[in-house]
Amino acid sequence: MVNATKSVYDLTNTSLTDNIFDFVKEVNNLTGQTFMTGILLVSFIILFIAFRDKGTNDAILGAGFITSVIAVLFTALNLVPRWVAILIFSSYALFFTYRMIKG
Amino acid sequence: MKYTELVIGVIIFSGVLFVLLFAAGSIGADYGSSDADTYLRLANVSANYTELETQKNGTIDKIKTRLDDAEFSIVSAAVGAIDSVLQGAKLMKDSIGTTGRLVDQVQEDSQGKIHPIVPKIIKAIITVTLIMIIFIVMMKVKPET
Repeated sequence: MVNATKSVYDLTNTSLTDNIFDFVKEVNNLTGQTFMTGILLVSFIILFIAFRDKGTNDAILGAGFITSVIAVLFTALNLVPRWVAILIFSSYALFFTYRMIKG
Repeated sequence: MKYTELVIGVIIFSGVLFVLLFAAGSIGADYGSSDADTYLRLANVSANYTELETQKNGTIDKIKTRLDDAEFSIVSAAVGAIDSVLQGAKLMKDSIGTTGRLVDQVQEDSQGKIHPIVPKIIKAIITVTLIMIIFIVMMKVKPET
């Protein structure tokens, strides 16, 4: 018979939470903050595909803007690492600047 | 890339970066983010850099002497856009502050009858709406080239 109490696996019950936010936070901690970073990446890709009929440049601008706003909220809730947020902000600002200057 | 384009680029870049970092810092402070102070510090660095380029060095005057009227009108439009970025950031800061105080006051007056999550939701909705409005305006502002 296997003794579960001596198991080497982490058997933390992640469903023992009051709300979805705690659950997401727990999953994010378990995955080393990559879960919500992945959500951001996927959001950008989905938005980019959704906006693609407006042209590639406008699609990147629109998807980047919404992803930046989501990143602001995620970082306020400690869901994404600082370097990811700063990378997203800088990329968006750089592309925005490029569009402003090049038209 | 021309010198003027580079200067304008730096100003716009630091302006947009300031707005995003400031939003991350101020909203993060409300929600207890451990990185809020870092974002606010970076936002200040970015804002100082924007002001340094536009005011301290008198860059706009310097550009004017180098360009003809047609070129300068493009630069003026870009400067107008930068101004809207900075005004937008100030508007956002004031609006978020006022809304936050108002919601906190309502929560206090209700003497615990309102669930604590309700003010947070109201703050989040208003903040996101403000950011959306300001950024949509910013996206529409583009110099005619």
